Amino acid sequence: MLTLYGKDFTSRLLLGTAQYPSPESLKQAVEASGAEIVTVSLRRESARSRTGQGFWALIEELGRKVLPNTAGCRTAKEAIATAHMARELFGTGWIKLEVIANDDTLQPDLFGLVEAAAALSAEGFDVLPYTTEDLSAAERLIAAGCTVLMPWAAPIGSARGLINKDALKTLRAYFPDTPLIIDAGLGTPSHAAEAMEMGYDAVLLNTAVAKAGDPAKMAAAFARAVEAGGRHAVLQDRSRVLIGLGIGPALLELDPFYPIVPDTKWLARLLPHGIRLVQLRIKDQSDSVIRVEIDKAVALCAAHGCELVVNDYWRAAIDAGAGFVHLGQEDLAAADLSAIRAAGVRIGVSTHSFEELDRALATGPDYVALGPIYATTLKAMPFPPQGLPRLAEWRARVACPLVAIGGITLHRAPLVLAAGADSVAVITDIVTSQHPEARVENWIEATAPWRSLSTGGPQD
Amino acid sequence: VKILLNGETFATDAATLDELCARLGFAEAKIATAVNGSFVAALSRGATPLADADEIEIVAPRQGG
Repeated sequence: MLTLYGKDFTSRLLLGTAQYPSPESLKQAVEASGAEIVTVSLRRESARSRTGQGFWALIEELGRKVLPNTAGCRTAKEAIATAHMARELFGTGWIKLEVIANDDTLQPDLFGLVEAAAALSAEGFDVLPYTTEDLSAAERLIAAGCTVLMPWAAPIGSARGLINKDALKTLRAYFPDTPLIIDAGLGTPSHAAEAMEMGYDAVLLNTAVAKAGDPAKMAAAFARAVEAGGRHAVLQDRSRVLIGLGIGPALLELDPFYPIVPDTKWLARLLPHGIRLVQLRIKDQSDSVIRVEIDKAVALCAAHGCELVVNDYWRAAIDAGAGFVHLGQEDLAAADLSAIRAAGVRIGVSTHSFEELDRALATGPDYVALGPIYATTLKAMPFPPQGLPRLAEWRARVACPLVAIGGITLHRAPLVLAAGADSVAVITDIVTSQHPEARVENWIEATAPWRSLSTGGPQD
Repeated sequence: VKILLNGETFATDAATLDELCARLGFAEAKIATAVNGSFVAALSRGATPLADADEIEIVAPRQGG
């Protein structure tokens, strides 16, 4: 989720509206990009051609959030007047603030920019300043009231990509909590992916899309690159600084919705509804039944593109080729972890206390589960509910993905994810539901905001 | 009066900015205005008289990045 001045967006690609070969190709590119924010400018309107009137009709038709810019302004005064005109014209206090120092490179005049940003922020504008990668300018802009920055990658339209990576990484590392949007200079989808991998929050594109042979196809390619790069930086809130310093780990991603089922009958029932991650937790069965069930589960999950986690039975999981095993604390002590790893099977571990967490982390797990978050009736639990503050403590200690489990209902899920869980494990809320399939679909929908970056959701 | 309209010399007998916009066919148009470098809100155009050499900007939405 990208939050800019209190407004949430799913897409991390912003699109400019200039230089397209035709209005139709602009429309198609916006659609293909998935952009929720489009930039526009203000220009002198001629009484004869009335060009802007037709353009406005097109923009209204697109139905996207409009971000007006102050392109062409050379001084703070001009930019401030343009921002006022834009606010009246577009009915928004959002302004992409540009004060341009050099007509060839469109290099920002950082001094005029800071001056205009301070004046406009004081008047209540939501200022998104087009700046360079300069650290002190960023500090001044934030001090002036900007809560979003738009540093350039390279001169506008140059298609050179991130020409000053060290400075961009430093910027990212210094301002881990400020949304940073790369604006200007990206030429290829890989540039966009690279910016996202560095932990940048979004990119703004224009020339690279508009001037492509097929703008819509290029827009779609950029959208995928942004998503791919964003996946890498999925734990950005925590790993951003590390990524900024160039030591970011390759991170595992879990779908935010993690149902747990007792057998493959349930699995077959739920898989068609779009689950991406599931645990098979078989209880009280003979070894042969267990093996048959796990084999079947692996095949079913593979057919539906779902990640399977096998609870407890790590030998059978290895033999069946499951992606994950989930181990409780006792299983953890007994299991041959190196055999599991050698087989390429990932390991998730349950934890209920700090001692258990220490033990789990010492084994280098692929994910850690904390429970019970809320009171649960399912298991006789020696542990009282952990609550969300405890979950946040776990979050601070756990670098790998964190799964929350125990008493989590559909309505509690967003709270749990917002508290720092990467994924929510669910049993009761699904299997005791009167309409489990519909419930699963509700869950997928409710957790969608956390899926957009982490696992992307269904592809076309 | 002789004004500078969007950077070009323009003679008009409109007394106010509002009148000027109406004569240019912009009465209902999606435009914004500035006089001598300062924004003039739509509601203030009627109370904004025109004088010789005023620099009038009339802008509208346009493609931008």
